[in-house]
Amino acid sequence: METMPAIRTESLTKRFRFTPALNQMDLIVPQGSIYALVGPNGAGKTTCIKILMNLLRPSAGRAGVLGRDSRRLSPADFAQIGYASENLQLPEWMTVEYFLGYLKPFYPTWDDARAGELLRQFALPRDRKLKELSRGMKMKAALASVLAYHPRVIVLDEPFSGLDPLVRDELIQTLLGHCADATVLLSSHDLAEMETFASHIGYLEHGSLRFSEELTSLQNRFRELDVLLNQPATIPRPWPTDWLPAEAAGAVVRFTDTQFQTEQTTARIHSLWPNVMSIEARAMPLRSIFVALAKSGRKAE
Amino acid sequence: MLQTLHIFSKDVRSLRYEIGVTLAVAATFVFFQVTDSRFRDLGTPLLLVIAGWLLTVRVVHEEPLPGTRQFWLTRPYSRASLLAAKILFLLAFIVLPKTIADLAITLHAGFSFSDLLPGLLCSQVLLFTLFAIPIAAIAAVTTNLAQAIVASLPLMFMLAISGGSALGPLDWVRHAAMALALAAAALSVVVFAYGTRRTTLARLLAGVLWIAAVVIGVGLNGSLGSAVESRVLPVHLDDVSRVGMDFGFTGTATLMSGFNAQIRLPIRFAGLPVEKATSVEMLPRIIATNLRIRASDGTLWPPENGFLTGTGTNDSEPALDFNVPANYYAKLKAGPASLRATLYVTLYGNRKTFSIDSRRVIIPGVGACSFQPMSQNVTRPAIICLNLFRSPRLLLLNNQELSGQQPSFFYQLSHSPFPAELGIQPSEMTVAMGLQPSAQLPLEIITLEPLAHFQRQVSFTNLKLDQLKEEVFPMSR
Repeated sequence: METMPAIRTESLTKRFRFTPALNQMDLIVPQGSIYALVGPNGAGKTTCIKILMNLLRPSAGRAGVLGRDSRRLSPADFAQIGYASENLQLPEWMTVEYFLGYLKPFYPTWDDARAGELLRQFALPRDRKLKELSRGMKMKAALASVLAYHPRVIVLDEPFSGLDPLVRDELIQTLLGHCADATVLLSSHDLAEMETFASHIGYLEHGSLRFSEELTSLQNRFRELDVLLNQPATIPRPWPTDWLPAEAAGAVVRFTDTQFQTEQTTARIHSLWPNVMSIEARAMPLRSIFVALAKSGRKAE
Repeated sequence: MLQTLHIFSKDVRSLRYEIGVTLAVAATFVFFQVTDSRFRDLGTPLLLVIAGWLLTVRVVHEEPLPGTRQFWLTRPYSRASLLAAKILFLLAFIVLPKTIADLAITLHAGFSFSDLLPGLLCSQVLLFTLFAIPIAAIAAVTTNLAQAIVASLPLMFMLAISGGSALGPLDWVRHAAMALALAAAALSVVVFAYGTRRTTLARLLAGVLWIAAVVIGVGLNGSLGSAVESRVLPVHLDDVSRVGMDFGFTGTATLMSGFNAQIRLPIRFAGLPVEKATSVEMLPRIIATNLRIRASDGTLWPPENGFLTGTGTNDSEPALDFNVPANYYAKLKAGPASLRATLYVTLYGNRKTFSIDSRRVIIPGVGACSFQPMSQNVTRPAIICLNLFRSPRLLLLNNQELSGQQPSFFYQLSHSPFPAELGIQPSEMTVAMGLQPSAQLPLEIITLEPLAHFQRQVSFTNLKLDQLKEEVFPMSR
């Protein structure tokens, strides 16, 4: 039996007056996954997350979390959802300890032991007011206040933005250590870190989800290819749609195949260029895939 | 309920300094009121309003409704509990301190608990629905103090237009309608904003309802007010067309420094329905609006597109008072003039007599009245009355005044049937009745209750204003 996804959007559309922000977005975040939603600035990541958290209303389509329409999320639903964002406005007059103590009665699953452990792990000063904390410390406090009640779904919007690598690493390690039973959706530009722990990835561009799949599958199908010819290279027209735009330099053609399969790709290259001398296929880190997609998007514009 | 108390206690902790300031201002307010300080009317009532405004806005802004970045939006807050927590806070730190302050002031003024209870309760309901809730509604659609200040300006405009007492004791109808509209609008906005958290729509709703309240305030004309008044008062007149009105010939024209002439035309009534009254006495008082006069050469005063309003009298003898320029008065005297106006006539009766000696006397429907003798600062003896949560409902006269010898200095009257009006000071001086220097204690004063009311469009012709007794102000003695 197919399990219900933790998060799902169907034809999700959002317009701000006449400016489209999300366009018919279909997203599925499987239960138990760590889903990284990536994309360039202005792609619609934050808008999507805000709709999921019922902070914004969709213009069309629907969004659901734990099977509930996001517009109808109740306090009982929010007791199972943890949300933190780089732009979250915390009650700055509260001390760290008072903040956690204030939130505790809202959550039936609040775990004092875990809260204490998180404070120790993050080295958060209990008696310090939130307004006196650095950006990184505030994010740690926000994350501690989320992880302390064992949420079933954790949604993080750019949680690592503007933080130094040490703090980022600390946050990621703590998150991974406390989200074994949870589904995590996070948006980020920190692709290198995403690669180390995300199980699924979605690429959002201009409000449309370009792809959404398991990270291993993505890494398997994206390859950067260098094709060496025995004469100056030309770019054939029409260019295959599943190959990102190519660059030709001398006898070498370089491009990214988004549907790489060794035998099929080799055969297609030979059919386009009969005079191929060698083909080199390199696995791509997530950052390179992201940059290649972003560049191809801009060229397409 | 637990969540409501939890949020409430968080708000108390967060706003403990603001609460402290508000309570301190309330205590100072009470101190100045009960010590009868000369600062009682100056700073503290305004400070109390500002402190209450600030505390209301701050507590609502603890969890701002507009926006998408507040931490509480994605926490398991029940918005009903949140609203209940805010209402509990307003009751605890706006209404309760004001209740205690009002109680202290009015008990100190000599009113008994049973005298003041209806007014006290009604006053706190008005404070909550017409002060706290409208400000909470403003705060619910704003995110910071600057926005709240700007959004409060229309509310102040509404307060400004609610003033201007053209119809005197009848103005309560317009005030009540505006208050009802404002309370309904504010409650709707608060419930909508907390229920849906749709800020744009809530702001739109607030704007539309505010305009509706203003339209009611501006548009509610005297005829409607008069119709309500005539139904609310205990005696309903079946056929007022039988009541005759005519000008007497004992009128005066006071020439004011050569620029203006203040004309007083006493009105004689005939056929008043005394037999239908609960009292044999039906003392008429008038207020006139839309007054216009035409001289024998056809010229009008006021000129085209202008009407005199608010003319009238509170004195014992019903009369029409109005001012005209001195040169126009000369035209009026040159030949027969005509006059038309809308008259609002209230008939008073049920005479009761009270004796005032050196002690303060509680007069139901008026307040706590006492005799103020002449002193270094007081050039003339007077009867001073402190009201209780509202302007006096009863007409207060002394025997001398009934014989037309002494006018009141100051008398604010309202026929409102409610035990309180929206106000800051629970008890303030609303009657100051001047007396002859030779006045001796005990004094006998009389109260008259409004019993019936009617409105009449009148038109008088062939007025011979050259027969008015002329006086010059300042009068030479």
